[in-house]
Amino acid sequence: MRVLLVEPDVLLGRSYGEALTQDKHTVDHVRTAQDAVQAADAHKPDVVVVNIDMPRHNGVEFLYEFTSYNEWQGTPVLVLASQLNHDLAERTVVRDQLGVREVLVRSRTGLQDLCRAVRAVGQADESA
Amino acid sequence: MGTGEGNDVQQSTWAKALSGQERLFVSLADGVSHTMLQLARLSEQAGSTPRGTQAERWQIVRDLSEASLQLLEGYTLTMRLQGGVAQPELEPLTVGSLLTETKRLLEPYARQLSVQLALDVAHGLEPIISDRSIVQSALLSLGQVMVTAQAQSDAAERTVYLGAHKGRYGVVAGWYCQNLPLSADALRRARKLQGQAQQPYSQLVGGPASGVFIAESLLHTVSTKLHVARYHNATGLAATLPLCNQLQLV
Repeated sequence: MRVLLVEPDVLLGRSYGEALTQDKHTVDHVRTAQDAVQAADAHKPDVVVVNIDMPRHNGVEFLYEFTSYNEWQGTPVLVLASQLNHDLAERTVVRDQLGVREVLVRSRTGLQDLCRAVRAVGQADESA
Repeated sequence: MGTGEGNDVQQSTWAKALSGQERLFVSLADGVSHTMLQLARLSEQAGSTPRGTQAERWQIVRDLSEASLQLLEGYTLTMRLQGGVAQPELEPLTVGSLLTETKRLLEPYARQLSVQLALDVAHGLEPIISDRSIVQSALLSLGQVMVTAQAQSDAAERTVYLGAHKGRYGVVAGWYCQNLPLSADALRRARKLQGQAQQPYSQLVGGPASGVFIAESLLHTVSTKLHVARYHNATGLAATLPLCNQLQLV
């Protein structure tokens, strides 16, 4: 699958990106919302993994912008959130409107957990 | 970012009950937690990487740990000074040597985030009078935030300048970037949100920006504070350090 990884932290992004690549996914790692839109425009992602704690834009704003484009509506999204922002990302309205499949608390989500969540999205889409 | 209206009210009430020192501690804890998260993910990945890459990974672990230690040392120094256990030791200082050493100490962290550091000290600066450890610790804490902010930006050229020039009331020393949105308003808002919001200075950086607040607490102990400054087409966060009048007479 092609994964668009939106993670402002360079080192975390590198760790997530390497783990997903080893799990046989193609990863486009970007740090900003602007770069994410450009990356999605260049290669449509099968799944978006986004850290909602972003500087300047917040990740929820980015997802509203992302899903406003017809061609990207319905793209499954996995959200990485801090414990404090977990509730916000979990809100039903956010999940339903923005295609959020799962909200993962960063401190409790290891690399294998992230890979498992991405695989689960792929399997769900295949069986649908 | 809030966590729902009810939670916002609860969080705000809780935050108002915190003293300035407690808010600084929360900010520090958030900063160190973030580093621990980076280290945890690096270690998790280490087992499945080739040996050559492992050496690079250990270097990242070392550089991140040392950056966190710099923050912790800055924080403990602040607490000691505020508690009267330690006193600032004022002495004449050459700004050039202080900034050169500071840049050298921050370079490993900047390298890991692919950010260049550059020194830009005006010629002929007069000596200042301050406490070397306090000013250096403040600049290191602040520098970490500026480097992180630059790494998170979408700028093609990622350079942070450690600069000093003569100002009206002394020598203005701080960190500058050409492409970061810094304003006095955003700094004021960040001060209010310190220890309350997860991203109190979200205009500048994602995360807790602990280094800004630790730097500010340290600088307060030598009677100065952070402000937004401009130098050579760059905007930055800097402090004005008083000139050493005795050495000027000599």
